[in-house]
Amino acid sequence: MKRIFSCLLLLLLLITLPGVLTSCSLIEPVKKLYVYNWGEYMTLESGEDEVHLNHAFEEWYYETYGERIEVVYSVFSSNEEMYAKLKNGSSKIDLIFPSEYMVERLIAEEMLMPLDYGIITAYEETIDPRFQTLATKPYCVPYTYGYLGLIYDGALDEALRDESGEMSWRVLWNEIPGGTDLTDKILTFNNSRDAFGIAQFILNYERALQSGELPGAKDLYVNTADTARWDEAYLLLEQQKDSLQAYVMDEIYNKMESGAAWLAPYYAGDYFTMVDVNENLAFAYPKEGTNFFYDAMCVPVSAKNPIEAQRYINYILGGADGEALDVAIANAEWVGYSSPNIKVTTNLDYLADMADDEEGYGAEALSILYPESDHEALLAMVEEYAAWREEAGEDYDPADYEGPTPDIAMFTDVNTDFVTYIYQNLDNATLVYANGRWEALKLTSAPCTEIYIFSAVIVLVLIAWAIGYMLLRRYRSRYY
Amino acid sequence: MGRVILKEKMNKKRSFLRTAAAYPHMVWSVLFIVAPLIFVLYYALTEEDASGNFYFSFANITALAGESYLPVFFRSICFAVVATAICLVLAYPLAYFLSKCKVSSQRMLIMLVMLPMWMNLLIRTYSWMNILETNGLINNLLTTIGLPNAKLLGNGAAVVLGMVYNFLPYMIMPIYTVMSKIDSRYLEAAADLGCNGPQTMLRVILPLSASGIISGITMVFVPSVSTFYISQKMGNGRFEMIGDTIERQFMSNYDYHMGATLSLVLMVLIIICLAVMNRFGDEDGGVLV
Repeated sequence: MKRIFSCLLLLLLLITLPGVLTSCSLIEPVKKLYVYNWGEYMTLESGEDEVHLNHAFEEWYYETYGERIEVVYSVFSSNEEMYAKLKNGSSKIDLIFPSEYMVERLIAEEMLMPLDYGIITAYEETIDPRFQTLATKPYCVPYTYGYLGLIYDGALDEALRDESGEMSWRVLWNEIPGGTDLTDKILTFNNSRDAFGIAQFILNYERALQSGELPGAKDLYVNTADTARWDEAYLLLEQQKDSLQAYVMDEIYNKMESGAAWLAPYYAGDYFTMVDVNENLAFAYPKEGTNFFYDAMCVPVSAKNPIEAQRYINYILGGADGEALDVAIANAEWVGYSSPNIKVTTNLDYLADMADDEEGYGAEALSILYPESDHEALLAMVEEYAAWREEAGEDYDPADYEGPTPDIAMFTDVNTDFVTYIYQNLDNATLVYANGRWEALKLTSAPCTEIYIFSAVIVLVLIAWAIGYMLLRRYRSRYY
Repeated sequence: MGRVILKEKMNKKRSFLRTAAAYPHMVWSVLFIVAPLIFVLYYALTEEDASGNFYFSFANITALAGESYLPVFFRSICFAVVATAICLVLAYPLAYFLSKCKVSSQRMLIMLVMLPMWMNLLIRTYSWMNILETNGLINNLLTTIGLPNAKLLGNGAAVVLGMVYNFLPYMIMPIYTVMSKIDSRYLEAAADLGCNGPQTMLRVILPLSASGIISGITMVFVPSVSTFYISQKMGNGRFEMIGDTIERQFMSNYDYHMGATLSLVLMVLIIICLAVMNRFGDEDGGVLV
């Protein structure tokens, strides 16, 4: 009976199999665009009043080109993870979002496709002129940018600032101007480039201070090939060890939000996520200068749909003549990092939404996201606009607004005291040396004598037991 | 005569079927165990020159001996030894207790032992972080009853706790399995011959469960010595284990050769440790049973 049943089952399978196969091939194949982005880095909300960028793109694509496309979206959590997946070449990827140093690395390894600015037509008029001169321009379009800053418990604000009201990266070394002891409350990066970077900003600043040439030759330390400079930074990092609570990456959210740690360096855009949970937190840019980074959109050489990928890039920038500017603005607001898209950043609705206390990130948002801009003047404009918008009610039309509007000039290097360093891809020898120094720093552990003693006791007990056992056996074998 | 031949043929046929049953596993092990091992060996014994060509070299292995990697190996082994010992001390009485329970409640209790394993190791470790944090569950409790805060996270004990918590079921299960199979007639015989409780435990149950202990130790020691996530999170990134070092070679240093060398040395170390232990285990079992 069982046998008959299983035979029937097999027969059934055999009959249906060809049907399934043919029915698959009958359906019109939908083109698929494989997008590989950082986690939580694009607006993909499907609620009302929300924007799902990929769905919006699919719709727009059908209307514009008359064919269906499906965006297959997946995420990575580090540049290195993305690099590994791309390098082994087993997965389909049409568009990636690496950070600047990874872009350089990918270019050096000839893994990126040169972009066609005939397709990405929005580039010229939307991307901030400062970004248009980047050496990586032929291969990537900036998506977001930002700076590294100090996140701290607001109660410490006074103690952390020196006489002139500025903050120094030195506070991460527990050198607190107000004299408070923060041992075991300080976090730092568990990745070599960022950890070394902070030490290098300090050294660069202090050297410039000594020779009186502030704000200092920019690349003296940060991208140096001089091993002696890396040694100096290493020694500085070693001094930091005893005051640290932990080397962290994503654990920082938990620790800062819960108040387990009080002081940590992190990216400006992520500060807003933390302050959302723990409103006691505050943010500042230290006087020594900080890291400037950007994440960009690139098409790998292995991409199957490079043209569609570039149309996607163009759409994210707001499309030709700003037809998708709403989507670009919604995306920039959702992501919360600084946007290199001047059509977005000079849009009063965007600025007002960002500076809004309830829906956005509060008045400090502009000075944190755009520290190099004339943010005080911007804020004044935004407040005026927000008041007008309030009055105009639900169905306001931004075109009716007659007050002052921001322009690009307000964003480009107004605040020249704000020193930034960009990380470049180090040459191989330097990279190996720097990694070796980081290795040396990490290999020395915090003291754990009790573990050593404990395990020594265990081993001794085992040895004693083994010897005792052998003696017992000998003793017994004499009698039995 | 004919019958004999037929029988031989049948034997042959059966043995062919038997080996055929092993083929999937053989293919699996060649693809996913042997081949990766060969790659590890290959990477460990080669270096890359400027133009990306590989050449044979012992440089990585000699670098291991010279540099500061030895303390890391030593540290990992010490942590693993402590974690394994604690697991054993906790698991042995528990396994004994389990094996003495009623069959129906045994099932329930075993499920409780296995329950944490249904969750991902990363999630379990992260939860422990929240419990031990300076303003976590335990410290909140301490402050509400008026005691001072304790630093529970980021020390050696926290790392050991993480290992013990995560690997304890691996110790309980094999010991329990062996113990539940011990024939109760042995115990009756021991009692007949005048053994009291502790003597029965030491001279009958312990030797009979030796094989479970050995496999339990193996199953806890090996993952403990090569762990990388637990030490990073529970130790606040301040107790570098060999697993962390290997992970960094692959993930951020891109030094596959050094990473492969470290893995290879770790594997050899583990094999040596296990060989030593198995030797003792065999002797015990052989003599005392």
